Amino acid sequence: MSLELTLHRSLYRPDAVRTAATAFGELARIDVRDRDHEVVITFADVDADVEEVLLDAFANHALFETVRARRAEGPVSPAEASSEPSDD
Amino acid sequence: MPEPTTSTFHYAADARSVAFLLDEALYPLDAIYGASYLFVDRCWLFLDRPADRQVQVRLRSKEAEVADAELDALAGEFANELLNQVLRLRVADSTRALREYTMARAFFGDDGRASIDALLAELDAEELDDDPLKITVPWDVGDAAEPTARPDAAPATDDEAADDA
Repeated sequence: MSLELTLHRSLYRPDAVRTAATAFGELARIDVRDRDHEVVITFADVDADVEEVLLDAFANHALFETVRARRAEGPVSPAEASSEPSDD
Repeated sequence: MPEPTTSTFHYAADARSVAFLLDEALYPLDAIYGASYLFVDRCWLFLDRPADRQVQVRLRSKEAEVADAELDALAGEFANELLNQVLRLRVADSTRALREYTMARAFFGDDGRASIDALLAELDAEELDDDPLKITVPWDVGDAAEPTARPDAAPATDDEAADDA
C-alpha cells in the first residue's frame, strides 16, 4: 500500500521535507519529488502500526523543520515578508 | 454615515478538524509559522495555499474522538496566538533600528572603549604591593620562583645583587 502527500513549496521548504523524510525513513520507503509549486512525497511499504497517522505526523515534522530553518536564517519583518515574491 | 463593517472568524469543521483561510496581508507568514510552531505538539497541522497570498490552516485533533467545544477552543486559541505573533513581529520590526543601535554602541561605541580604559587605569593605579591579608597571586609566585628555577645558573655576585635590589 502506498500513500501520497502534496505540500506547497511556498509553505514547506523542500530541504525541510527531505529532513523529515530522513527522520521517517524507518517507517516507510519514502520518495520525494519536486514539482513546480509543490513537493510530492510518496510513502510505500508503510509500517502498519503508523499507517493512520503517518501523513499527519510527517506534515507536522516538515512544518516544524521549515519553521526552524526559517528562524535560523534570521527574522523577517512584516514589511519584508509582504514584499516577498510568491511562487504562484 | 457609512455602515460599520463587521468581520468574523469563519472556520469549517468536521468530526476531528477545523480549517480556516488566512490572508497574508493581515497575518504574515512568519506569524502563521509562529503560531503553528506552538501548536505542533497539540494537534496535526496542515498548511495549504489555495490562492496567492492566502494560507489555509487545518488543525486536526490527535484524539480519535473530540467534542465540538474542544474544536472551537482549538480554533479560538490558534486565532489568539496568531494575533499574539503578529504583535510580536510588529514590535520587533518597529524596535529593530533601536536595538541594533544599542548593540552597536555597546560593542563598538566610544563610551564602551572609554569605560574599559577607565577600568584598566583603575587597576594600574591600585597599590598592588600592599597585601595586608598576605594573599599572593600565582603570577607573583612565578616571578619570585624564577631565580630558583635555574639551579645550574651561576650565583649572582654582590654587585649584581645590589643592582637587582
